[in-house]
Amino acid sequence: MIEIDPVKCVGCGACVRICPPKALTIEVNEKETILKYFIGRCIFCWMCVQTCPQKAIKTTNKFELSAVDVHELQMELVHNTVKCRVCGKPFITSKFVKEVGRRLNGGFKDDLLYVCPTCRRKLTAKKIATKVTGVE
Amino acid sequence: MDFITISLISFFAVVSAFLPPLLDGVERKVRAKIQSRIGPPTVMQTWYDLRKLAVKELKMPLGGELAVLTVFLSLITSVSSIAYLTYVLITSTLNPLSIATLIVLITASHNLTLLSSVSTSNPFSIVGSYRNVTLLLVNEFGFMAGFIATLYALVRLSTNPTPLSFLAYALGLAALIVSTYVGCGRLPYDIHEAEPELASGALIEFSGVALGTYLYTHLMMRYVFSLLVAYAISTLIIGFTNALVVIAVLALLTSIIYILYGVVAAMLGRTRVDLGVRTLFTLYVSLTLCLVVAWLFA
Amino acid sequence: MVSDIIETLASVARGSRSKSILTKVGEVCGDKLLKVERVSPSTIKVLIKADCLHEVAEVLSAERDVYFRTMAASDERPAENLFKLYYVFGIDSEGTNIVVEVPTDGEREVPSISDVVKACDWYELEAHDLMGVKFSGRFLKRLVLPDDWPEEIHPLRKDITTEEIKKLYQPQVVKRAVELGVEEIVKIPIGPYHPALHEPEYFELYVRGEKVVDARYVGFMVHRGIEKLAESMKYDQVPFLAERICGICGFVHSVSYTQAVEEALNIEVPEKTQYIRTIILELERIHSHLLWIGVALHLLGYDTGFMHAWRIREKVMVLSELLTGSRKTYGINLVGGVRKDINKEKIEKTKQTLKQVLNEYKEFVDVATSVPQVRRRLSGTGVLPGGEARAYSLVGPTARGSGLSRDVRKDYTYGAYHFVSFSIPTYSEGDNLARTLVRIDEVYESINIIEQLLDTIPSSSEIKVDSWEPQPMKLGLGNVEAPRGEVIHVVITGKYGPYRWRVRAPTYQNLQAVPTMLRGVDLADAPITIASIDPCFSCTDRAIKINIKTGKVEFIPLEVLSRGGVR
Ligand code: SF4
Ligand code: SF4
Repeated sequence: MIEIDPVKCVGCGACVRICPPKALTIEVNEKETILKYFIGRCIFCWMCVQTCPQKAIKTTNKFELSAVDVHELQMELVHNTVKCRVCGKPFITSKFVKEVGRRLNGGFKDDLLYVCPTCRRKLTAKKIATKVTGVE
Repeated sequence: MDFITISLISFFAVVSAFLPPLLDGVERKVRAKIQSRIGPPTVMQTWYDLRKLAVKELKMPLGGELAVLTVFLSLITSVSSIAYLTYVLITSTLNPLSIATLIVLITASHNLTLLSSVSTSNPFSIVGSYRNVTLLLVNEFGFMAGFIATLYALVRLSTNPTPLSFLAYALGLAALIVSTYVGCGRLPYDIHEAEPELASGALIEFSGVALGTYLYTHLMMRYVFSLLVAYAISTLIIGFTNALVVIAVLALLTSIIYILYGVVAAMLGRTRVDLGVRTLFTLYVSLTLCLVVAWLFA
Repeated sequence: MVSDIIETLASVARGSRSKSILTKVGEVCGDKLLKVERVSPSTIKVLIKADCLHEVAEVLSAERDVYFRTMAASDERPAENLFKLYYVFGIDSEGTNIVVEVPTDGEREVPSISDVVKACDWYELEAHDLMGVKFSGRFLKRLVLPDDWPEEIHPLRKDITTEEIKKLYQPQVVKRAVELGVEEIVKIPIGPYHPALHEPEYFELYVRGEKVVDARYVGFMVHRGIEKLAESMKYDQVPFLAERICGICGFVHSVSYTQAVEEALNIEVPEKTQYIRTIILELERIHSHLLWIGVALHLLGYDTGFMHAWRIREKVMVLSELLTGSRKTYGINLVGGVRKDINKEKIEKTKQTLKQVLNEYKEFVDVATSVPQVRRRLSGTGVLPGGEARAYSLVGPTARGSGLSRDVRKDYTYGAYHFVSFSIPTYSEGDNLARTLVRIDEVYESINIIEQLLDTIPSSSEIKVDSWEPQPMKLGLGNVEAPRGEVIHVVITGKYGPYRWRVRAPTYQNLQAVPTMLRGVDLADAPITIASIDPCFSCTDRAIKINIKTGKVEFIPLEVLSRGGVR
């Protein structure tokens, strides 16, 4: 099975997108972003290990994984969710935002960083439009 | 019959009751070795299996009351055939009557097990049984010819040993060995069970005590067949002297033959009913012909 | 106009064979031939109107070196408001694929070609079931879908999603539960027909005495909807799914899939990748054949041989673990490359093990084939004449046992096979023994191939292309000679994952010939005959027996069977 380091993981969801049998899933709600790992579906392909940009996932040699209760096979990692500053919809984890900010090295201002992709697109379009036409 | 004879017979009967499953355990170990497996943990495994089956619940097969009955009947006949055989050996009462009784007892217990699967409602078991009937028809012929010829040759040899009567003995023994081997229901002649083809017969139909008894009887039968061969061989070598020695030698020889049969079976595949019958038929007929010729000249 | 197209035909042809065949196709079609196009070096696509499909099929099936490989139906209504059928024919002698593309609006009937191309029977039924394409001139029945499936729902159509299909099946269970008044239900699946089954297949044998007079096959008990599922997955996730199509030869499917995508998108994979894939493929063949030989011997009652075959196989399994990290379902394949490199140390180890395997195998095979019962029961049983094999477009050892030297490793070469020399064992008797010997010989060839590859494997560590751009609606074919015969995948690319993915496993093709083989064999030989094509189910099980001579139907009602004969 795999082990996810809760300190390193930022909840970006890259592993969720690559996982072939959908053993990793992510659930975003108002407050929390929950990364779920269900061992019952995992095929131990290590695609997630190779994909994780944070190197947060470790492989282990554990394979005797039978359990009496199916819930024992489920692991969860809870992150805080941030809401889009424009539309107010929950979109990613606060850690992820910080990590992006760190990697971009201040290339993005906070007002763009904390905005969901749809709103960001709108914002940028508006900016360009403003620049080109000179009208708000 | 004096007290010593009776106690000897009972003693041997008890040994014979205990030996077959033990021999099966040894055979399983040996076969595992040949097949590069580990096999059961101890040679007592078959006994443990039987013990466990004895306490498991018994599910009656559909229309199989008769079948279960035949299993118990055949246990009785096979036990009595061992007892009677010992009696014949120790008191050396070899005469037409005793030989006939022996043949009746042995074939009866053999055929009773067969009946058990015919009387079930499973068509696969029925197919298996009919295959077995076909095979047995031929084999019983070989068995009787071989058994009688060997015993007769033994009597002749003890009085008048000539090369020709020795040849006759060898021919009879060959027929006896083949027919007892087939009678044991070992590969290639286990076509009535033929697990990957039919998945039928007693192993599927029975459960609990009935299955245990069936297995035990089956092993008994194998033991009886080996015993016959052991007898035919040992008599030639040691003659009838001390009854205790006879018993010891017999038990040892029987065990060796039992295991040898098992080893041979591990080397072979399963035959098809038409092929098997044809092979056996040709073999028996030619052996009998040779026998007749040998007797004519003797 | 017509002459124009015939001219193009000649220009796209790959060699003289394809040229002459394409010209013939052009002649029978006339102006119903709409377009020809070379979509990849080895694939030529011909777009025709449905009305002349039958004529084209007649022309193609009359050629001795042409055979029917697969057919994919695709729902392209979102793009063109049409359904499309892609019939793939292969020209063996040239290694060229001719893809006949037939558009249909889903209402009008497409002429059936299963009368001239026998192998097409199931493909048409499947297209009818899953895609709702209608065929004229044949009897249509349910093949894949269960009997209680709603009439108007065709699961592979794009207007129904996987989620909806799932829902479609769940409520019925729940409804039943409510009817029965239970709060919680546990589903305990008991085989499609009988709990004693090894695998879900079902043969009806009609016997006279112990002779099989005729046989009928009913299958598709475990249609898993993998193709539909893959349409909702991304390119790099599908290989893992593909490997799970078969538990014994899964890697062939993932390679087939990746090759199809690579062909469709023109991705050049590094040479080392080709080598690694080929080595693993051959390793898989060795283990699969050893497995089959073991099971076949078990069916013949020679259990000692079974044990020893599997003992040798164990070494191969350990070797797979060394090279890929897993004993099975290796999971090392991606579009454009592989995930695990083979280094010097591993090469040495592999060579050593292979040498051991070779010695032990030789010894084992010599003993096993000399067991009298094995020889006598294999030879002369389950005969399939070469002509029948050709008519059914059979593939793999089944075809090679009937004298057809068809092997996609040579005919439609892929991977690193063109770097090595090897022979294709062929026997012409067509009986069970011939098919067995083909497999026995192939193990030697495979060991030989791996050794050659290990000697010449490039030392670079480039095993994967870094990035590639998917383009939608491109057609690609990928084929692999699996242990059981050719596997062929048709991929139509989409934006993030395959738009349509058609998998054709070898058993699909070979199973249709089993009834022919079964006619006239003894009942006792039926299991080994069925197993002789190495179907994806290797053991045999129960069948209903109808005794023709006595007129008595020994039919066991399911309820009695499922009660297990227990009162
Ligand atoms: S890819 Fe790594 S950082 Fe991103 S969610 Fe998965 S484990 Fe966390
Ligand atoms: S190892 Fe593979 S299956 Fe398991 S969580 Fe990671 S990507 Fe998913």
